[in-house]
Amino acid sequence: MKYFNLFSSVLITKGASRVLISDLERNVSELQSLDLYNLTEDLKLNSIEDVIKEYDRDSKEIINEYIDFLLENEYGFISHNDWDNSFNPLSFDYDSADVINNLFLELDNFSVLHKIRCAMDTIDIRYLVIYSIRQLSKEELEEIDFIFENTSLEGIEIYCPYHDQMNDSFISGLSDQSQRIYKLVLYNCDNITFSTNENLKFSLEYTKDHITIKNCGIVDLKYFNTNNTKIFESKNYNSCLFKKIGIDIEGNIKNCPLMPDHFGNIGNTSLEKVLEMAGFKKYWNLTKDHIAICKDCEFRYICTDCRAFTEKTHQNKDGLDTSKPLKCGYDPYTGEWSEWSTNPLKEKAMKYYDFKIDK
Amino acid sequence: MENKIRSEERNKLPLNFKYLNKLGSKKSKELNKKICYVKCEKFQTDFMTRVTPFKAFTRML
Repeated sequence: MKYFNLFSSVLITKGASRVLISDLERNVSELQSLDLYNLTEDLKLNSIEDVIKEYDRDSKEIINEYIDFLLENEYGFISHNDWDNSFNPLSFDYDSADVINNLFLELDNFSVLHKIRCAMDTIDIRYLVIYSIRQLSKEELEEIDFIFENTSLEGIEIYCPYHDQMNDSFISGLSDQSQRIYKLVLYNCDNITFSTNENLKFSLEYTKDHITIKNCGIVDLKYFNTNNTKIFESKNYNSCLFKKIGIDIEGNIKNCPLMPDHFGNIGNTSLEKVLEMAGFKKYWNLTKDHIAICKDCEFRYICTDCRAFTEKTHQNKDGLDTSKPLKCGYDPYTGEWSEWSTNPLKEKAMKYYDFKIDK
Repeated sequence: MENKIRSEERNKLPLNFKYLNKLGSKKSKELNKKICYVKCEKFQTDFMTRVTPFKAFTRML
């Protein structure tokens, strides 16, 4: 008798109409039919011969093709006489040493950065994401980096408007001086006055579009990540808000700068106190398995959630918004993507958030 | 599938090396260039590796 063993590092996520096979060794995911999921479940309980004999002659060929597919893609292996019990199942428990993984700041005044710097003496913040509404000079960008010199902050990501002084020497000079900036995104970039250089210490992206902070929350294939940390986090915690802290343009401390609830102002409250406040962590444990529609989606563990903009259709018994993210155009029941902003079913929520409705 | 399995393997793993990344290849040199270190007083090191985040923190583009 032959037995099929699925590798522990292969995660099959069942959706309403398809499955997603995620290979956590190679960090790739691929879509397959629900039949494959049913087959892998059968193969966990029965030998290959026993599974095949349950099917008629035509189907047997298909089952053999599926098993070949699983072997050729190295999703599993065959053992004889019994399943190979040498391989323990992968634990999906997740924990991280960071107190705060990322702080999302809507920047207006540099004094907020100094307050964050002071907070870092007692709490570790791993990444800082800055959205600036105003243009930043080279000196100001360097100052942002300099403020966090010698701290445990690992990286800084900055979104700011493009301006004419941003030429090659501006960008390369910033790359030479900066230590922690790993990503710089320039918006309103109509006329490029710099060449893209691969030797920069940070990734440089630009767009001619005017980006506002309200653009955040887009759900798209390009933002899906297949890696252990991402999937383990998504299975246990909210994939956007877990260990996230936000500060809006007025200094209000929130779960995300785009969410309405705030827990004090950076001017008179410390980040440490906010972390201890009742309700601050209420969304941290809300996984995609408890969000309407998302719980039936095969992408739920590789996708990043959004609680700032939702369809506002569901609420759980604790009063948490468990509606599908507004900016997701995927329907897991049909397996089709469509433009979210033109979906008539989302109009009510779009009006609530004051989004422009495209017809 | 039997002919794909090497007989000397105790567990008959369908091993192959098509995904092996050779050391010293062009790809690995390119990756090494991008490794950045930062100084961190708290952790008492001059070589804290700046690791790219495992997910996108914002999705604005």
